Amino acid sequence: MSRERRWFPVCRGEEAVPRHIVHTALLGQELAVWRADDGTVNAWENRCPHRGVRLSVGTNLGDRLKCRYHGWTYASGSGQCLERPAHPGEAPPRIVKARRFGCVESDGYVWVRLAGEGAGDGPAPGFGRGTAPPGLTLRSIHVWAPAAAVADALARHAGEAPDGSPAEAVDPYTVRSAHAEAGEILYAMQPVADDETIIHAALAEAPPASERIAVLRRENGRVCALRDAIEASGSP
Amino acid sequence: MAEPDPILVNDWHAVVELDFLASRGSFETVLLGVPIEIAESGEGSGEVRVSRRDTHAPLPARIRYGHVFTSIGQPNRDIVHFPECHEADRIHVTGGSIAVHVSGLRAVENFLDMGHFPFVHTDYLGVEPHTEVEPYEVTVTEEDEILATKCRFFQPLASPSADGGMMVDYEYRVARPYTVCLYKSNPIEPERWDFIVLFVQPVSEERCIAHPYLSYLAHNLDNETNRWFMQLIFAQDKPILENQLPKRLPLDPRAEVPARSDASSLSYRRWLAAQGVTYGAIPAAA
Repeated sequence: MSRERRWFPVCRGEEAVPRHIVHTALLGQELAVWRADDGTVNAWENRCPHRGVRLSVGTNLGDRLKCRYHGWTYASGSGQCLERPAHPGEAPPRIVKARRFGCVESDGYVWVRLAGEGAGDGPAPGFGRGTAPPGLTLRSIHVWAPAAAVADALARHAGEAPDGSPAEAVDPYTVRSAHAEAGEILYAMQPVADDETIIHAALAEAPPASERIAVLRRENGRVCALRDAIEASGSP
Repeated sequence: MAEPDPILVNDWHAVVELDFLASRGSFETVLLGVPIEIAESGEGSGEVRVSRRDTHAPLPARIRYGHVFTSIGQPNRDIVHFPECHEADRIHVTGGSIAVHVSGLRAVENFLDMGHFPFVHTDYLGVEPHTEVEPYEVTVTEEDEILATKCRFFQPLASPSADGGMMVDYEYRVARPYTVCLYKSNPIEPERWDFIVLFVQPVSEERCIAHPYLSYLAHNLDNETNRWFMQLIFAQDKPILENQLPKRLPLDPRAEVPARSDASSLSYRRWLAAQGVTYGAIPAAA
């Protein structure tokens, strides 16, 4: 299975707030992820095609991104260059475009695929729960370790919980656990680079509102402790 | 990392500002990947010694344009001569050396670029909606230098002596792969030009230190004001340059998409390729 043709989460949907640009990376490819005012989420190479400046230091104008260096703008959706201010009133050539990647929003996350059209390799974007969105998205945690090692440690860690709850490696990048305290939790790996991973996690069922903060803190502590253990051991 | 090209090894490079050296007595830096030390020879002698920190071999030293110049090879030509820097009725001042985490070739290209003025130097060297880069001329001279002439741009505060927006005339000249200068019209003396040269020290392929030297006509301005203005402008460029990907300058014309306003940039990239400069560059595939 080609990793380039697989969907990975790159940020929580709520992080892509209007008029903001999220700077992240997938499999070593830097991304500029941004939401247009009409709700469309775009995932582009984080680089202006003109002179290479990161688009994430530019401006989200609501329907286009504006590069910080020369003010070139690129349309949401198509990535088409709309303006080159050094040549006002002149339509840029059609070939001048921001480089786009496959991008969908599902289960509270933005999912990106670097290559290919159609269904792609591996599972559909999302936590595989069909139309039911997760009850609560947890804080995403960055780990200095390869994605496979993080997923492996996560499966073993969840399995060692005091209540003996089972954990399951759904595939090399997804782990599902169920324990008495929190119920079902889904973990999806974002392989940022070869030795760098972000763990995105969500509770299947929302806890009662009165327990929400306590649950967020508890699960945050759990994954942070796992991160510390992985990074301390070097090879979990 | 590539070995430095002979054209760079056997040339002079500015490595430290003289006043800064005097304040410390000695200074360590890196030139083309080689660790070097610059030291004052003796109390008030005005002479300096330069040596490698790895082999302790002495290196040649020259003092010019307010900086110490050295070479890690055998220089086969002199430091570039800029007559403006020797005119007595100008203010001559170093602009303050600034380290930038990008190839020095990217820094030179940025110095040649007018299109970024309204966006990076907003309210100083440019402002929207005055964004147009009018056609200008680029030639390679008989001395094998790049010359861009008939450059014009609207500037709200073109220099520390300006009082209001105006169309400013520019000429740019690339004298060496890592040395670039500009001539800029000044309202006080329409017949003469302000002059700024940028000596870029290639530290590594992806790091440089820019050493500006200014020879301004503005008789009524002090050095501090001129330096302040140069520092302000460069501090605006630095974060942009450090967000360029890749950090080395691609010489393949298909690697980045130019516009007509990039004529000098295109000429510079072709000229570098023709000179066989690869250090700090990504050469075009054969």
